[in-house]
Amino acid sequence: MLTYDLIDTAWHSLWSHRLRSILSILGIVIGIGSFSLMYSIGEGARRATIESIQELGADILSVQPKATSPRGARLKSAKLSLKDVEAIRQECPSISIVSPVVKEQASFYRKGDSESFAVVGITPSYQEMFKVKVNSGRLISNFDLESQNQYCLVGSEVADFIFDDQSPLGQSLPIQGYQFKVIGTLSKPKRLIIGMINIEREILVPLPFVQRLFHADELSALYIHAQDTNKAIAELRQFFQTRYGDEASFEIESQRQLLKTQEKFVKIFEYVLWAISSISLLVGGIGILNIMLVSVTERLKEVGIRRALGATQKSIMLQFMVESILLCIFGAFGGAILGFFGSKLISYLSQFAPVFSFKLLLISLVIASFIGIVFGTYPAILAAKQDPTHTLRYD
Amino acid sequence: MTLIEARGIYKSYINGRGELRVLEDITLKVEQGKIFSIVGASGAGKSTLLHILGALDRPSRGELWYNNSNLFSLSDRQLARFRNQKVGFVFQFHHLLPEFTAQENVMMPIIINRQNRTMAELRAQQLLAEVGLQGREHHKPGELSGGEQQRVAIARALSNQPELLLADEPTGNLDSKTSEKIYALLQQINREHGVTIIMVTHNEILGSRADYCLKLSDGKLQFV
Ligand SMILES: Nc1ncnc2c1ncn2[C@@H]1O[C@H](COP(=O)(O)OP(=O)(O)O)[C@@H](O)[C@H]1O
Ligand SMILES: [Mg+2]
Repeated sequence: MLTYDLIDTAWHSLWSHRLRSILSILGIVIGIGSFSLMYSIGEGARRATIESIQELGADILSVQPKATSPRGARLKSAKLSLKDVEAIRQECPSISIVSPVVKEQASFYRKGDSESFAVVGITPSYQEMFKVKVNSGRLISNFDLESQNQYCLVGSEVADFIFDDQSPLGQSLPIQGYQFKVIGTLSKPKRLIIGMINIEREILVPLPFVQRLFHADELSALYIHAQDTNKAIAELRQFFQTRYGDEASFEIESQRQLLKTQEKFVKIFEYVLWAISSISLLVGGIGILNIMLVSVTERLKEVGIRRALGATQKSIMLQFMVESILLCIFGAFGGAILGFFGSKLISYLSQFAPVFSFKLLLISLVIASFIGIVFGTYPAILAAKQDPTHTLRYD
Repeated sequence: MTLIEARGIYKSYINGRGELRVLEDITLKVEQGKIFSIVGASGAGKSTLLHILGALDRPSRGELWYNNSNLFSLSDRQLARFRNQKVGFVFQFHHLLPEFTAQENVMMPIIINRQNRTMAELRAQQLLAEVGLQGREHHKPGELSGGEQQRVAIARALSNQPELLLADEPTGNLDSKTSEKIYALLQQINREHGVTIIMVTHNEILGSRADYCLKLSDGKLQFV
């Protein structure tokens, strides 16, 4: 038979049992649906990571004193001060920008509710390094630092909690008993700044104030711009070794490394997802096998008739294979639609955008056809090998 | 002239109680252009013999000669082609495919032969008209009477212009008046197309009208 007739015949058979056909492909629909959803999530995550890395440009390193040694003892030597900032600039040739930060937690109350936000003492370089943008107002300038202006910037969550729907701009915010004038509200970062800062929950204040307010001589962290991550880390280790005799009490992290770690998590996530969708596809395939066996048993007489009319065993086999593949392809379309709307739902509900591509549809179709072949073969052989004379003797 | 010749055909089935010998040493020369009738008790092996003569089943032993070749030495694929091209089957229970229209049923052997669909449609329409079913092309078997269903089955058997028509109790399910008409149609086909017909029947009167009447009993075939 010609391909057209094969498909036409298979379609006839599926259509005449449409309810059963639809029920039998549910497994495939769910399998392909979860597969394509997971694939699009993985693809989205991978792209987000790649974009973050590209957007990052030069790497950002963070240096933080470790609170405790590996044995749990408080480390005395592990303290960072403004002197270190200057020294690093001078002694580490591959490091140009060092941004010192003092970070303290402070509680804020409103209508009987309390929340804790980070009060971060910064210099303008912090804003440049993390590409901090304002929604309204302006950023903190060097002039603010020099003239000791009691100004602050608030992150979006802070603004929502403390000022509700009022505009925070120009209002005063009491921190540790001192009034700070809000000169700007921070916009949400376009992409998450992984692992280092959480700008939405921060109140940015000129560095000297925080040191004074919290009586903190120590710096909480240094953020460093590095063109060459490895070289910069090596120089820093060397620096701490000679200055403190102990490079291990400072933790050095790099944005790029954090992204790499995240990439690894995406990989692991993908493996798990592959496992889940393989299992559901296997179950779906068994559903197809089951329904094809039913179909073959029901149509043994049809097979006998076709054989009497001159159909070869091969063409009988092909006929059932086409039917099984067609079922799976319909299932794949159903699943792809499911996955598509699932991924739309996810990007609607979260910041995260799964990527649903045409390529994914093609992959789904190939996988589904493969399942159709694998699970359709046995029933098809059964049909083809059946003795045609048997069914023809009786009604 | 001999169209097809069976030589020493044996067929037996192995079942729970042992070997069931259905056909024993059947030898038959089928003369071209004639009508043969086969009568016999139920279970005598008439259907079995017809299936073997149509190369749908292989005998336990024996040969079937057509055009100087022993059919059972051919491959299954070649036998399928032989059935498609040279043989037409008509069964007691019409055995039309219920999901397809009369026309589509008649087209089926042509489609199996990979012929162009439009040509198959034309041929089917022409055949349906010939068996008296003009205007019924798009009816499904369920919408036709027993006699009409059998006419569609006959049209289907003729669709690839076979040389041999094998009819297994074609009137077995029909009343005597309809049976007469179906038999008349078979005679007409035999006359006009020169198709050789072998017909199994329970109907003694119809059987006796054939050119040759055979009886199958105890696995043997005899002229009566
Ligand atoms: N596949 C089979 N296995 C065992 N016995 C069979 C099989 N097919 C047919 N028979 C037996 O062979 C005998 C002849 O069957 P059949 O040719 O259908 O008889 P008829 O058509 O003359 O009524 C019957 O007794 C039947 O039960
Ligand atoms: Mg019979």
